[in-house]
Amino acid sequence: MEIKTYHKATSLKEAYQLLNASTKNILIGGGAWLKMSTQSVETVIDLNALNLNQIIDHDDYIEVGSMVTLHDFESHESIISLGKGFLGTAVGSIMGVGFRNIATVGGSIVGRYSFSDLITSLVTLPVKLIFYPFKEMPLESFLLSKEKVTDILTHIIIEKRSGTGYFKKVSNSGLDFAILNVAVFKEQGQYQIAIGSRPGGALIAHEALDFLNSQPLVNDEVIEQTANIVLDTIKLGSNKAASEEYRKALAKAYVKRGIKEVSS
Amino acid sequence: MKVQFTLNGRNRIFEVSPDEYLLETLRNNHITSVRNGCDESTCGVCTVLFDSKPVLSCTMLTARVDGHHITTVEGVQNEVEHISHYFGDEGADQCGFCNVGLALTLHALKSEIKDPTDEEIKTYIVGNLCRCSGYQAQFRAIKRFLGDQK
Repeated sequence: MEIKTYHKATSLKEAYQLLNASTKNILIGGGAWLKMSTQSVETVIDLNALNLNQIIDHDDYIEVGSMVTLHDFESHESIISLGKGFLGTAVGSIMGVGFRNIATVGGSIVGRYSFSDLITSLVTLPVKLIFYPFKEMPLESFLLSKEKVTDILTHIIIEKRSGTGYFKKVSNSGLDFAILNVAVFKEQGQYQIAIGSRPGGALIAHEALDFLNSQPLVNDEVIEQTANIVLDTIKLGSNKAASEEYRKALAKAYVKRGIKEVSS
Repeated sequence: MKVQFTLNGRNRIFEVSPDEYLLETLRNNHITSVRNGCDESTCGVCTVLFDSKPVLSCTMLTARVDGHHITTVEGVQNEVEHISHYFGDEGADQCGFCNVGLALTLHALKSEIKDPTDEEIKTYIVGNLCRCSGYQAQFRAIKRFLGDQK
């Protein structure tokens, strides 16, 4: 990547104005993925001086600054306590600690990376994104939206839940991208299931959840049917990492395992 | 552009381009203990400490470091020499290319996690690859080193 100017923003207003002054200006989170880009950038806008690297534990929700690094996120007690640590499991599986001390939560979300372990786990929880200057939106709506991001993600609001989470990343090696991600969360008899790295971006399995969450009893037969609906309604495809057939076999096995694990 | 940061306890000013990575800046200024391995954010041999936390210098823009503290092995020389004895005793020292990054990661692990479990050790050092040893010797050396620090 070629960068002509590096600017350390002194306020959100200044960063916002600069971001929207040219299509060749970009925000930098940790900058971990910039290296892989071949684009030419006029100005990189650094948000590190704007105090967006805090995690604040409120009564009903956790407020995560967009510049919190992945390693600080996975290590924070409030995050560890959610869903019996499944968010930490997901984020802790991303590359090595030297990488996770650079990459940020906000950068991972705004990039809408299809292979994101963070996004697949996070989308099973009620999560709201706060953008400067005004916008708020649920994480799932943001992921489904194709619009270019012209606002600045400042905070991620995670509603506290007392349920249990499950996360499984399947990859060819420990430092590789996921072939498939599966996240399941259960609270008070209601489930959430998300499938990521399909190889497309993470999706919530709504049709399967409509079926599963309406069952009076979740037994092996119901779990089998749920997994089959996931395969019928969530598009899984092929790329050089894995075939569609292999992804389907993985998804079926890990959706069933995830439901059983959070139900036990 | 000018970038100013503390390198191993000394205030330094470097003239860099906006798209220059820290690995390049350090090696261009004769800090050659920082190794260039994969240059793709994977192998961990370029690890340095950024405000005491291990980071991949091949992945961090030098401009991002402005106003912060960077530590290479020269900044924690006594401890790294101490660690290297454990590596030597366990036969973990072969080509040695990965040792510098691993030693700095181990230094950070010791500060961050008190009395880590085997699983926590493995998770923490997973991003520091070694192509000689198969990791068992390093793991034994790290366990002994951390055990003797108690």
